[in-house]
Amino acid sequence: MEKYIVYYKGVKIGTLEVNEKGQHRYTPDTNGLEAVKENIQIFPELFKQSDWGDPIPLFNNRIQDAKRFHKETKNISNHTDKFELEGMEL
Amino acid sequence: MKFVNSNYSLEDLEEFRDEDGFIDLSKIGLEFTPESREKRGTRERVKNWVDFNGKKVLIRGEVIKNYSVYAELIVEEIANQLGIDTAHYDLIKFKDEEGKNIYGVLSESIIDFDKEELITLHDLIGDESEYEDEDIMEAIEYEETIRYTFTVDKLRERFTKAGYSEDDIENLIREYNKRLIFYLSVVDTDKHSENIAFIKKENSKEIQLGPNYDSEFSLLLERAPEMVDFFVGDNAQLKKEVDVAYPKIGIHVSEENGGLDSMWKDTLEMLCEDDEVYNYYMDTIKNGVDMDIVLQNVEKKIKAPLPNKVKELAKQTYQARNEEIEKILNGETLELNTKSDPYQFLCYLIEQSKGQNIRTGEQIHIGRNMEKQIYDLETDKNNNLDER
Repeated sequence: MEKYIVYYKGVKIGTLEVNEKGQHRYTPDTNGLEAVKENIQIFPELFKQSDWGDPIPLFNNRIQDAKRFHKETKNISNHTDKFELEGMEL
Repeated sequence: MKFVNSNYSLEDLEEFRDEDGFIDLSKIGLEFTPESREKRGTRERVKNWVDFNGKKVLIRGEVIKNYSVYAELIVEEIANQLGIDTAHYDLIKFKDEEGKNIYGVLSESIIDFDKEELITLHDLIGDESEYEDEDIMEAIEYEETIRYTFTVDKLRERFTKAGYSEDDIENLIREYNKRLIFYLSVVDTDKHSENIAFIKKENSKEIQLGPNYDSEFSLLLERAPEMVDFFVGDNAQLKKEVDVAYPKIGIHVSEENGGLDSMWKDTLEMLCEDDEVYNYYMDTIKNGVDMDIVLQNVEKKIKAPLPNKVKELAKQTYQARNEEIEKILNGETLELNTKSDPYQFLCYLIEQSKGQNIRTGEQIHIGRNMEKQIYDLETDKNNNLDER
Protein backbone atom coordinates (compact mmCIF):
# COMPACT_ATOMS: atom_id res chain seq x y z
CA MET A 1 0.00 0.00 0.00
CA GLU A 2 1.21 3.50 -0.87
CA LYS A 3 -0.12 6.75 0.45
CA TYR A 4 0.47 10.26 -0.84
CA ILE A 5 -0.56 13.74 0.21
CA VAL A 6 -1.60 15.67 -2.85
CA TYR A 7 -0.67 19.32 -3.12
CA TYR A 8 -1.50 21.93 -5.68
CA LYS A 9 0.71 25.04 -5.61
CA GLY A 10 1.79 24.01 -2.13
CA VAL A 11 -1.78 23.70 -0.85
CA LYS A 12 -2.91 20.31 0.40
CA ILE A 13 -5.94 19.26 -1.65
CA GLY A 14 -6.31 15.61 -0.76
CA THR A 15 -4.87 12.21 0.02
CA LEU A 16 -4.28 9.39 -2.38
CA GLU A 17 -3.98 5.72 -1.49
CA VAL A 18 -2.76 3.05 -3.86
CA ASN A 19 -3.37 -0.59 -2.99
CA GLU A 20 -1.49 -3.71 -4.07
CA LYS A 21 -3.79 -4.12 -7.07
CA GLY A 22 -2.85 -0.65 -8.27
CA GLN A 23 -6.29 0.76 -7.47
CA HIS A 24 -6.66 4.31 -6.22
CA ARG A 25 -8.74 5.75 -3.44
CA TYR A 26 -8.84 9.51 -3.11
CA THR A 27 -9.97 11.66 -0.20
CA PRO A 28 -10.35 15.38 -0.89
CA ASP A 29 -9.35 18.12 1.52
CA THR A 30 -12.24 20.54 1.20
CA ASN A 31 -10.44 23.50 2.77
CA GLY A 32 -7.52 23.20 0.43
CA LEU A 33 -9.74 22.67 -2.59
CA GLU A 34 -11.70 25.79 -1.84
CA ALA A 35 -8.50 27.81 -2.15
CA VAL A 36 -7.46 26.40 -5.54
CA LYS A 37 -10.67 25.13 -7.11
CA GLU A 38 -10.59 27.55 -10.05
CA ASN A 39 -7.32 26.06 -11.22
CA ILE A 40 -8.21 22.39 -11.13
CA GLN A 41 -11.81 22.25 -12.36
CA ILE A 42 -10.57 20.20 -15.30
CA PHE A 43 -10.09 17.38 -12.80
CA PRO A 44 -13.53 16.99 -11.16
CA GLU A 45 -12.41 13.69 -9.66
CA LEU A 46 -10.27 15.68 -7.23
CA PHE A 47 -13.33 17.18 -5.60
CA LYS A 48 -14.98 14.01 -4.34
CA GLN A 49 -14.25 11.04 -2.17
CA SER A 50 -13.71 7.91 -4.22
CA ASP A 51 -13.85 4.26 -3.35
CA TRP A 52 -11.18 1.82 -4.54
CA GLY A 53 -11.25 1.93 -8.29
CA ASP A 54 -9.40 2.52 -11.51
CA PRO A 55 -6.26 4.63 -11.15
CA ILE A 56 -6.80 8.35 -11.50
CA PRO A 57 -4.82 9.15 -14.68
CA LEU A 58 -3.39 12.43 -13.37
CA PHE A 59 -1.80 10.69 -10.39
CA ASN A 60 -1.09 7.34 -12.01
CA ASN A 61 0.94 8.96 -14.78
CA ARG A 62 3.06 10.88 -12.32
CA ILE A 63 3.64 7.94 -9.99
CA GLN A 64 4.59 5.60 -12.84
CA ASP A 65 6.88 8.21 -14.40
CA ALA A 66 8.59 8.86 -11.08
CA LYS A 67 9.10 5.16 -10.40
CA ARG A 68 11.09 4.85 -13.59
CA PHE A 69 13.66 7.24 -12.22
CA HIS A 70 13.72 6.94 -8.48
CA LYS A 71 13.70 3.94 -6.22
CA GLU A 72 11.99 6.07 -3.58
CA THR A 73 9.00 7.97 -4.80
CA LYS A 74 8.84 10.38 -1.88
CA ASN A 75 8.15 13.66 -3.65
CA ILE A 76 6.66 13.52 -7.10
CA SER A 77 6.17 16.60 -9.21
CA ASN A 78 6.49 17.54 -12.86
CA HIS A 79 8.13 20.67 -14.12
CA THR A 80 5.14 21.63 -16.23
CA ASP A 81 2.35 21.75 -13.68
CA LYS A 82 1.75 22.61 -10.03
CA PHE A 83 0.75 19.23 -8.63
CA GLU A 84 2.94 17.48 -6.10
CA LEU A 85 2.53 14.10 -4.46
CA GLU A 86 4.34 13.60 -1.17
CA GLY A 87 4.86 9.96 -0.23
CA MET A 88 3.86 9.15 3.34
CA GLU A 89 5.42 6.64 5.70
CA LEU A 90 2.94 3.88 6.53
CA MET B 1 16.86 22.65 -8.13
CA LYS B 2 14.25 21.88 -10.76
CA PHE B 3 16.21 23.76 -13.42
CA VAL B 4 19.93 23.78 -14.07
CA ASN B 5 20.95 27.41 -14.22
CA SER B 6 23.16 28.71 -16.98
CA ASN B 7 24.53 32.20 -17.29
CA TYR B 8 24.33 31.91 -21.07
CA SER B 9 21.30 33.06 -23.03
CA LEU B 10 20.02 31.07 -26.01
CA GLU B 11 21.47 33.73 -28.27
CA ASP B 12 24.91 33.28 -26.66
CA LEU B 13 24.84 29.61 -27.67
CA GLU B 14 25.30 30.53 -31.34
CA GLU B 15 28.97 30.95 -30.58
CA PHE B 16 29.24 27.23 -29.92
CA ARG B 17 27.59 25.95 -33.09
CA ASP B 18 29.75 23.53 -35.09
CA GLU B 19 30.02 23.23 -38.87
CA ASP B 20 27.20 20.64 -38.94
CA GLY B 21 24.82 22.98 -37.13
CA PHE B 22 24.96 21.43 -33.65
CA ILE B 23 25.39 23.68 -30.62
CA ASP B 24 28.15 22.13 -28.48
CA LEU B 25 26.84 22.27 -24.93
CA SER B 26 29.95 20.61 -23.57
CA LYS B 27 31.64 24.01 -23.98
CA ILE B 28 29.38 25.77 -21.50
CA GLY B 29 29.90 23.55 -18.47
CA LEU B 30 26.35 22.31 -17.93
CA GLU B 31 25.92 19.70 -15.25
CA PHE B 32 22.55 18.00 -15.17
CA THR B 33 21.03 17.35 -11.74
CA PRO B 34 18.53 14.63 -10.81
CA GLU B 35 15.99 17.31 -9.91
CA SER B 36 16.21 18.83 -13.36
CA ARG B 37 15.31 15.53 -14.98
CA GLU B 38 12.07 15.55 -16.99
CA LYS B 39 10.26 12.46 -15.79
CA ARG B 40 8.01 11.90 -18.77
CA GLY B 41 9.33 9.64 -21.45
CA THR B 42 12.00 6.99 -21.61
CA ARG B 43 14.72 7.15 -18.98
CA GLU B 44 17.40 5.84 -21.33
CA ARG B 45 18.17 9.25 -22.70
CA VAL B 46 19.13 12.61 -21.29
CA LYS B 47 16.13 14.85 -20.82
CA ASN B 48 16.75 17.76 -18.49
CA TRP B 49 15.48 21.26 -17.91
CA VAL B 50 17.86 24.20 -18.09
CA ASP B 51 17.26 27.85 -17.39
CA PHE B 52 19.20 29.87 -19.96
CA ASN B 53 19.15 33.30 -18.39
CA GLY B 54 15.41 33.24 -17.77
CA LYS B 55 14.39 31.04 -20.68
CA LYS B 56 13.33 27.52 -19.68
CA VAL B 57 14.62 24.95 -22.14
CA LEU B 58 14.41 21.16 -22.34
CA ILE B 59 17.59 19.40 -23.44
CA ARG B 60 17.05 16.02 -25.00
CA GLY B 61 19.77 13.63 -26.13
CA GLU B 62 19.14 10.72 -28.48
CA VAL B 63 20.46 7.23 -27.82
CA ILE B 64 19.73 5.73 -31.19
CA LYS B 65 21.70 6.89 -34.17
CA ASN B 66 19.19 8.18 -36.71
CA TYR B 67 18.04 11.43 -38.23
CA SER B 68 15.11 12.03 -35.90
CA VAL B 69 16.66 15.21 -34.49
CA TYR B 70 16.21 16.79 -37.90
CA ALA B 71 12.57 15.73 -37.95
CA GLU B 72 11.79 18.02 -35.01
CA LEU B 73 13.16 21.05 -36.82
CA ILE B 74 11.61 20.15 -40.16
CA VAL B 75 8.16 19.51 -38.69
CA GLU B 76 8.46 22.76 -36.75
CA GLU B 77 9.03 24.59 -40.03
CA ILE B 78 6.13 22.79 -41.72
CA ALA B 79 3.93 23.80 -38.79
CA ASN B 80 5.15 27.38 -39.15
CA GLN B 81 4.17 27.43 -42.81
CA LEU B 82 0.71 26.19 -41.91
CA GLY B 83 0.25 28.62 -39.04
CA ILE B 84 0.21 25.86 -36.42
CA ASP B 85 1.58 26.71 -32.99
CA THR B 86 4.73 24.74 -32.36
CA ALA B 87 7.64 24.27 -29.98
CA HIS B 88 10.94 25.73 -31.14
CA TYR B 89 13.86 23.38 -31.56
CA ASP B 90 17.57 23.58 -32.21
CA LEU B 91 20.31 21.01 -32.66
CA ILE B 92 22.67 20.31 -29.77
CA LYS B 93 25.39 17.93 -28.81
CA PHE B 94 27.18 17.19 -25.56
CA LYS B 95 29.55 14.60 -24.18
CA ASP B 96 28.47 11.65 -22.07
CA GLU B 97 30.44 10.27 -19.10
CA GLU B 98 32.72 8.38 -21.46
CA GLY B 99 33.45 11.48 -23.51
CA LYS B 100 31.35 10.31 -26.44
CA ASN B 101 29.28 12.85 -28.39
CA ILE B 102 25.55 12.63 -27.82
CA TYR B 103 23.37 14.42 -30.36
CA GLY B 104 19.96 15.82 -29.62
CA VAL B 105 17.74 18.86 -29.53
CA LEU B 106 16.87 21.67 -27.24
CA SER B 107 13.34 22.97 -27.13
CA GLU B 108 12.11 26.14 -25.53
CA SER B 109 9.33 25.57 -23.06
CA ILE B 110 5.90 25.74 -24.68
CA ILE B 111 4.34 27.17 -21.54
CA ASP B 112 4.93 30.21 -19.39
CA PHE B 113 5.71 28.44 -16.11
CA ASP B 114 4.35 31.33 -14.07
CA LYS B 115 1.02 31.57 -15.82
CA GLU B 116 0.24 28.26 -17.53
CA GLU B 117 0.17 24.53 -16.98
CA LEU B 118 0.60 21.64 -19.36
CA ILE B 119 -1.99 18.91 -19.18
CA THR B 120 -1.31 15.99 -21.44
CA LEU B 121 -3.98 14.06 -23.26
CA HIS B 122 -2.85 11.10 -21.15
CA ASP B 123 -3.65 13.04 -17.96
CA LEU B 124 -7.15 13.64 -19.27
CA ILE B 125 -8.05 10.24 -20.70
CA GLY B 126 -5.84 7.68 -18.96
CA ASP B 127 -5.11 4.33 -20.57
CA GLU B 128 -7.39 2.37 -22.81
CA SER B 129 -8.03 -1.20 -21.70
CA GLU B 130 -6.38 -3.71 -23.95
CA TYR B 131 -8.49 -5.62 -26.41
CA GLU B 132 -11.70 -3.99 -25.24
CA ASP B 133 -14.40 -4.87 -27.80
CA GLU B 134 -11.69 -5.35 -30.40
CA ASP B 135 -10.54 -8.10 -32.62
CA ILE B 136 -7.42 -9.42 -30.88
CA MET B 137 -5.47 -9.88 -34.12
CA GLU B 138 -6.08 -6.25 -35.02
CA ALA B 139 -5.00 -5.17 -31.56
CA ILE B 140 -1.76 -7.09 -31.98
CA GLU B 141 -1.14 -5.69 -35.44
CA TYR B 142 -1.53 -2.13 -34.21
CA GLU B 143 0.34 -2.53 -30.97
CA GLU B 144 0.27 0.38 -28.55
CA THR B 145 -2.20 2.37 -30.60
CA ILE B 146 -5.08 4.09 -28.92
CA ARG B 147 -8.47 4.13 -30.57
CA TYR B 148 -9.29 7.59 -31.77
CA THR B 149 -12.91 7.14 -30.67
CA PHE B 150 -11.73 6.34 -27.14
CA THR B 151 -9.77 9.60 -26.97
CA VAL B 152 -12.66 11.71 -28.19
CA ASP B 153 -15.22 10.00 -25.95
CA LYS B 154 -13.01 10.47 -22.92
CA LEU B 155 -12.23 14.09 -23.75
CA ARG B 156 -15.91 14.84 -24.21
CA GLU B 157 -16.76 13.11 -20.94
CA ARG B 158 -14.10 14.99 -18.99
CA PHE B 159 -14.82 18.42 -20.40
CA THR B 160 -18.54 17.89 -19.80
CA LYS B 161 -17.98 16.86 -16.18
CA ALA B 162 -15.69 19.85 -15.71
CA GLY B 163 -18.52 22.13 -16.76
CA TYR B 164 -17.34 23.32 -20.17
CA SER B 165 -20.05 24.39 -22.59
CA GLU B 166 -21.01 22.18 -25.53
CA ASP B 167 -19.68 24.77 -27.94
CA ASP B 168 -16.33 24.95 -26.14
CA ILE B 169 -16.07 21.16 -26.10
CA GLU B 170 -16.84 20.86 -29.80
CA ASN B 171 -14.29 23.56 -30.60
CA LEU B 172 -11.61 21.82 -28.56
CA ILE B 173 -12.29 18.49 -30.20
CA ARG B 174 -12.33 20.05 -33.64
CA GLU B 175 -8.92 21.62 -32.99
CA TYR B 176 -7.70 18.24 -31.78
CA ASN B 177 -8.98 16.61 -34.96
CA LYS B 178 -7.31 19.20 -37.16
CA ARG B 179 -4.06 18.58 -35.34
CA LEU B 180 -4.38 14.83 -35.90
CA ILE B 181 -4.74 15.45 -39.61
CA PHE B 182 -1.58 17.52 -39.54
CA TYR B 183 0.21 14.61 -37.88
CA LEU B 184 -1.06 12.24 -40.56
CA SER B 185 0.31 14.62 -43.19
CA VAL B 186 3.82 14.51 -41.71
CA VAL B 187 3.70 10.72 -41.13
CA ASP B 188 4.10 11.05 -37.36
CA THR B 189 4.14 7.50 -36.01
CA ASP B 190 4.65 8.29 -32.32
CA LYS B 191 2.00 10.85 -31.47
CA HIS B 192 0.69 9.02 -28.42
CA SER B 193 -1.29 10.62 -25.64
CA GLU B 194 1.78 11.99 -23.84
CA ASN B 195 2.80 13.87 -26.97
CA ILE B 196 -0.41 15.84 -27.28
CA ALA B 197 -1.24 18.36 -24.61
CA PHE B 198 -3.56 21.12 -23.61
CA ILE B 199 -2.52 24.35 -21.98
CA LYS B 200 -4.48 25.75 -19.11
CA LYS B 201 -4.13 29.26 -17.89
CA GLU B 202 -3.59 29.91 -14.20
CA ASN B 203 -6.61 31.02 -12.17
CA SER B 204 -8.86 30.37 -15.11
CA LYS B 205 -10.94 27.63 -16.63
CA GLU B 206 -9.62 28.58 -20.05
CA ILE B 207 -7.99 25.68 -21.85
CA GLN B 208 -6.71 25.23 -25.39
CA LEU B 209 -4.87 22.69 -27.46
CA GLY B 210 -1.15 23.12 -26.90
CA PRO B 211 1.51 23.65 -29.56
CA ASN B 212 2.98 20.82 -31.57
CA TYR B 213 5.92 19.13 -29.86
CA ASP B 214 7.84 15.83 -29.90
CA SER B 215 7.64 15.16 -33.62
CA GLU B 216 10.91 13.25 -33.87
CA PHE B 217 9.16 10.18 -35.28
CA SER B 218 8.02 11.91 -38.44
CA LEU B 219 8.74 11.82 -42.18
CA LEU B 220 10.42 8.39 -41.73
CA LEU B 221 13.47 10.17 -40.30
CA GLU B 222 13.44 7.94 -37.23
CA ARG B 223 14.30 4.93 -39.37
CA ALA B 224 17.78 3.41 -39.31
CA PRO B 225 20.27 5.26 -41.53
CA GLU B 226 20.62 2.28 -43.86
CA MET B 227 16.84 2.25 -44.33
CA VAL B 228 16.93 5.96 -45.09
CA ASP B 229 19.51 5.25 -47.83
CA PHE B 230 17.26 2.50 -49.16
CA PHE B 231 14.11 4.62 -49.28
CA VAL B 232 15.84 7.61 -50.81
CA GLY B 233 17.19 5.33 -53.53
CA ASP B 234 13.89 3.60 -54.29
CA ASN B 235 10.80 5.79 -54.43
CA ALA B 236 8.47 2.83 -54.96
CA GLN B 237 9.67 1.26 -51.73
CA LEU B 238 9.40 4.59 -49.96
CA LYS B 239 5.78 4.90 -51.03
CA LYS B 240 5.07 1.42 -49.73
CA GLU B 241 6.66 2.34 -46.41
CA VAL B 242 4.69 5.56 -46.18
CA ASP B 243 1.56 3.61 -46.97
CA VAL B 244 1.95 1.34 -43.97
CA ALA B 245 3.25 3.92 -41.47
CA TYR B 246 0.44 4.37 -38.98
CA PRO B 247 -0.37 6.80 -36.19
CA LYS B 248 -0.47 6.03 -32.47
CA ILE B 249 -4.00 7.42 -32.19
CA GLY B 250 -6.32 6.16 -34.87
CA ILE B 251 -9.05 3.88 -36.04
CA HIS B 252 -9.00 0.85 -38.25
CA VAL B 253 -12.01 -0.25 -40.30
CA SER B 254 -11.88 -3.45 -42.32
CA GLU B 255 -13.02 -3.55 -45.95
CA GLU B 256 -15.96 -5.75 -44.95
CA ASN B 257 -17.14 -2.88 -42.78
CA GLY B 258 -16.70 -0.29 -45.49
CA GLY B 259 -13.23 0.86 -44.52
CA LEU B 260 -9.88 1.08 -46.23
CA ASP B 261 -8.27 -1.58 -44.02
CA SER B 262 -5.48 0.87 -43.13
CA MET B 263 -5.08 2.56 -39.76
CA TRP B 264 -3.95 5.89 -41.14
CA LYS B 265 -6.39 5.98 -44.07
CA ASP B 266 -9.36 4.99 -41.94
CA THR B 267 -8.35 7.60 -39.39
CA LEU B 268 -8.16 10.21 -42.13
CA GLU B 269 -11.63 9.27 -43.37
CA MET B 270 -13.09 9.40 -39.89
CA LEU B 271 -11.56 12.80 -39.18
CA CYS B 272 -12.82 14.16 -42.50
CA GLU B 273 -16.40 13.22 -41.79
CA ASP B 274 -16.42 16.64 -40.17
CA ASP B 275 -16.62 19.08 -43.07
CA GLU B 276 -14.59 21.66 -41.17
CA VAL B 277 -11.72 19.23 -40.73
CA TYR B 278 -11.95 18.17 -44.38
CA ASN B 279 -11.94 21.82 -45.45
CA TYR B 280 -9.02 22.51 -43.13
CA TYR B 281 -6.94 19.95 -44.97
CA MET B 282 -8.06 21.06 -48.43
CA ASP B 283 -7.79 24.79 -47.77
CA THR B 284 -4.77 24.95 -45.46
CA ILE B 285 -2.57 21.87 -45.54
CA LYS B 286 -2.97 20.89 -49.18
CA ASN B 287 -0.66 23.15 -51.17
CA GLY B 288 0.21 24.98 -47.97
CA VAL B 289 3.72 23.64 -47.63
CA ASP B 290 6.74 24.29 -49.83
CA MET B 291 9.26 21.71 -48.67
CA ASP B 292 12.14 23.47 -50.37
CA ILE B 293 11.45 26.57 -48.31
CA VAL B 294 10.94 24.46 -45.19
CA LEU B 295 14.35 22.88 -45.61
CA GLN B 296 16.00 26.18 -46.48
CA ASN B 297 14.60 27.73 -43.30
CA VAL B 298 15.95 24.88 -41.22
CA GLU B 299 19.37 25.33 -42.80
CA LYS B 300 19.22 29.07 -42.09
CA LYS B 301 18.40 28.37 -38.47
CA ILE B 302 21.22 25.87 -37.91
CA LYS B 303 23.58 27.82 -40.15
CA ALA B 304 24.64 24.60 -41.84
CA PRO B 305 23.47 22.39 -44.68
CA LEU B 306 21.19 19.50 -43.87
CA PRO B 307 22.43 16.09 -44.97
CA ASN B 308 21.17 15.48 -48.52
CA LYS B 309 19.54 12.20 -47.62
CA VAL B 310 17.59 13.94 -44.84
CA LYS B 311 16.29 16.52 -47.29
CA GLU B 312 15.43 13.91 -49.89
CA LEU B 313 13.67 11.63 -47.46
CA ALA B 314 11.67 14.46 -45.88
CA LYS B 315 10.56 15.81 -49.26
CA GLN B 316 9.70 12.46 -50.80
CA THR B 317 7.88 11.22 -47.68
CA TYR B 318 5.84 14.38 -47.32
CA GLN B 319 4.95 14.29 -51.00
CA ALA B 320 4.06 10.59 -51.00
CA ARG B 321 1.82 10.86 -47.96
CA ASN B 322 0.00 13.99 -49.07
CA GLU B 323 -0.54 12.74 -52.62
CA GLU B 324 -2.21 9.72 -51.11
CA ILE B 325 -4.29 11.85 -48.73
CA GLU B 326 -5.53 13.93 -51.63
CA LYS B 327 -6.44 10.82 -53.61
CA ILE B 328 -8.46 9.50 -50.69
CA LEU B 329 -10.22 12.80 -50.09
CA ASN B 330 -10.97 13.07 -53.80
CA GLY B 331 -12.43 9.55 -53.81
CA GLU B 332 -9.83 8.23 -56.20
CA THR B 333 -8.94 5.08 -54.31
CA LEU B 334 -12.20 3.23 -54.80
CA GLU B 335 -11.43 -0.09 -56.46
CA LEU B 336 -14.30 -1.18 -58.62
CA ASN B 337 -15.29 -4.25 -60.52
CA THR B 338 -16.10 -2.68 -63.85
CA LYS B 339 -17.63 -5.87 -65.23
CA SER B 340 -20.77 -5.30 -63.23
CA ASP B 341 -23.36 -2.75 -64.35
CA PRO B 342 -23.82 -1.25 -60.85
CA TYR B 343 -20.09 -0.75 -60.62
CA GLN B 344 -19.95 0.93 -63.98
CA PHE B 345 -22.73 3.18 -62.83
CA LEU B 346 -20.82 4.00 -59.65
CA CYS B 347 -17.72 4.75 -61.74
CA TYR B 348 -19.83 7.11 -63.77
CA LEU B 349 -21.12 8.82 -60.60
CA ILE B 350 -17.64 9.22 -59.23
CA GLU B 351 -16.31 10.72 -62.44
CA GLN B 352 -19.21 13.14 -62.40
CA SER B 353 -18.56 14.16 -58.79
CA LYS B 354 -14.83 14.55 -59.43
CA GLY B 355 -15.69 16.87 -62.23
CA GLN B 356 -17.78 18.90 -59.80
CA ASN B 357 -15.02 18.94 -57.15
CA ILE B 358 -16.61 16.78 -54.50
CA ARG B 359 -15.98 18.71 -51.35
CA THR B 360 -16.85 16.78 -48.26
CA GLY B 361 -15.43 13.79 -46.50
CA GLU B 362 -18.96 12.78 -45.69
CA GLN B 363 -19.72 12.39 -49.39
CA ILE B 364 -16.67 10.17 -49.79
CA HIS B 365 -17.88 8.07 -46.88
CA ILE B 366 -21.38 7.79 -48.37
CA GLY B 367 -19.89 6.75 -51.71
CA ARG B 368 -17.87 4.06 -50.05
CA ASN B 369 -20.90 2.71 -48.21
CA MET B 370 -22.79 2.62 -51.51
CA GLU B 371 -19.95 0.62 -53.03
CA LYS B 372 -20.08 -1.84 -50.14
CA GLN B 373 -23.85 -2.24 -50.51
CA ILE B 374 -23.51 -2.89 -54.24
CA TYR B 375 -20.71 -5.38 -53.55
CA ASP B 376 -22.90 -7.18 -50.99
CA LEU B 377 -25.83 -7.29 -53.43
CA GLU B 378 -23.59 -8.70 -56.15
CA THR B 379 -22.14 -11.27 -53.76
CA ASP B 380 -25.63 -12.38 -52.68
CA LYS B 381 -26.75 -12.55 -56.32
CA ASN B 382 -23.76 -14.70 -57.27
CA ASN B 383 -24.27 -16.96 -54.26
CA ASN B 384 -27.93 -17.47 -55.19
CA LEU B 385 -26.95 -18.35 -58.76
CA ASP B 386 -24.39 -20.88 -57.49
CA GLU B 387 -26.95 -22.54 -55.22
CA ARG B 388 -29.24 -23.09 -58.19
